[in-house]
Amino acid sequence: MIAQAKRPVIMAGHGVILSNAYAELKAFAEKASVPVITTLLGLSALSDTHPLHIGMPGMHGPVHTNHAIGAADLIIGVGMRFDDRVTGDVSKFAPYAKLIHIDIDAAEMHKVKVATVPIVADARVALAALTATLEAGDHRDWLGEIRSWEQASDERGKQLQRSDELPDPISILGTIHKVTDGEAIVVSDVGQHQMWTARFYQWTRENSHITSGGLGTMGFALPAAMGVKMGVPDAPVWAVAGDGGIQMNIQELATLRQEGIAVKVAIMNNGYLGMVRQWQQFFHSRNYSETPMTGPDHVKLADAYGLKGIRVKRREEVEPAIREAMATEGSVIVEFIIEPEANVYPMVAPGKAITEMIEETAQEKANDDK
Amino acid sequence: MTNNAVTSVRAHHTNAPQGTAKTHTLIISVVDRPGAVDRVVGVLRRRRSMLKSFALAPDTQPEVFRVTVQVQDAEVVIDHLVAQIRKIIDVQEVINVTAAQAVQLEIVLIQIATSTVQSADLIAAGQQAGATVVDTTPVAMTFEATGSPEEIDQVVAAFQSYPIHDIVRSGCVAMARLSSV
Repeated sequence: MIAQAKRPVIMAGHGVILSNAYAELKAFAEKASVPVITTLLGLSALSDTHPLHIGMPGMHGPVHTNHAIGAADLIIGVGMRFDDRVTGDVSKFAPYAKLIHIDIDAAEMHKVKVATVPIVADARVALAALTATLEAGDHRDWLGEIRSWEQASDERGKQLQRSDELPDPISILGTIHKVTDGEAIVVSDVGQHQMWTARFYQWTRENSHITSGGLGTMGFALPAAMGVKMGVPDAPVWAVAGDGGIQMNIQELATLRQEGIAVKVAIMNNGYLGMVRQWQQFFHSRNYSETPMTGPDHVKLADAYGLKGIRVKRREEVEPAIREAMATEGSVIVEFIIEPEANVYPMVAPGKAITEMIEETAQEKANDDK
Repeated sequence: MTNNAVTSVRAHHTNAPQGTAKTHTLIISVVDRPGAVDRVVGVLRRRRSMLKSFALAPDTQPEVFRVTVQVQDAEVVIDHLVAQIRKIIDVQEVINVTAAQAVQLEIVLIQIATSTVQSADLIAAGQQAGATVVDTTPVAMTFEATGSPEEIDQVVAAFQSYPIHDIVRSGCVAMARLSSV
């Protein structure tokens, strides 16, 4: 089946990371020459810089990744479960694809998508066995086609900012990667910043992305980052949160101070529960109900907990602030004042097929500016 | 939970071919720890399984209960159900046996009010249906019968012309047939 497929994709999930199958995934993908999609929890299972890596699927996945799934004739799902944020409308998800589903949980087989070949196994063992029996494949044309879609959609350019002066999520995340040489472990909370982090941080270190996934728990980032730092004391650990989610476990700043744990906290402050606000903008005519929030003064708050706080209001201050945070011993809170109505694009509306994405168009932008 | 329960969309039913539901018998071995059987029942309940019968008793192994449950559903839905029950830590084993692979028996107790019937007629009718008398009082007689669920249905039917006071069925228990050693 893999040898016969013309447009195969691998969808790698958290199972690959949990079974420590980084090398096996890479070897399998390279031998079969199959593009690799990593799910939200599968991010960093294969480096973003790997030539076969083509992004994250689903609700906030890039255009070319979702179109690749839409056009695929074979999906090899490894350690993933076809979550509703990945599939959108299931009946329109990967309509042309057969499915080889590898998962350790037998209950996942045929649950969302009926598998052509269900394999209940540990990801590492299964991938190694497949690689051993597989003949080398060549799907460069298919990969080239996906890459041409990627260039045509020019993803990064679409995350439009109305203001050139405010810090923007892409440069914040890119700078964290740059300053830490990609060695940081980044823990995200839940919301818009989580999707920006998933999409625009470059995942080059194995198992460097921690997020709450399907549990969707706001307030996760700060305590989880604390645990990560204690587990991996040598790595720089960044907690990325929104101004809404950080409030939900803000008391843990005291624990950071008390136990002397060094976690760098990036707060993307847009003055809203941003993801909910985005839905209200798209689906409820900008009726912003209960989403605007003033929040506290995060720098003074850091001070109150005995930690260093930095506020960043201008884009050119992003890098100096992150460098200062890294140079400072102990925990640091860096608050980035970002554009209040920045959106995560593209977006698949709930109940739609993942190939029907909402992208910010010039028209929409013009309407916004009115 | 009964056969008459109104069910809307149920888990995994989108994959189930229409009209393929049949009765499956599951034999579940579960360690007797507080809450363990609750978890099994919880899975059945949350997945809105169409329960036909449920029997629970100690297993031959110490500290283990054996649950025999009959569920009516399509094969694919039952496969998911089995996979989910197997995920409960206290569950040692789940076997899905069909009637052909297993011996399946059920007990029924039928109590007849005797004030208006001749005892001799009643006993004769009971014998013909394969039921034996296990208890008598001045006003009632209780019969017992053991058989497959279908046989039990027939026994119950045989008593319909008498003044039935109460009927209780044990629920089916099953044992896989050992066909080769």
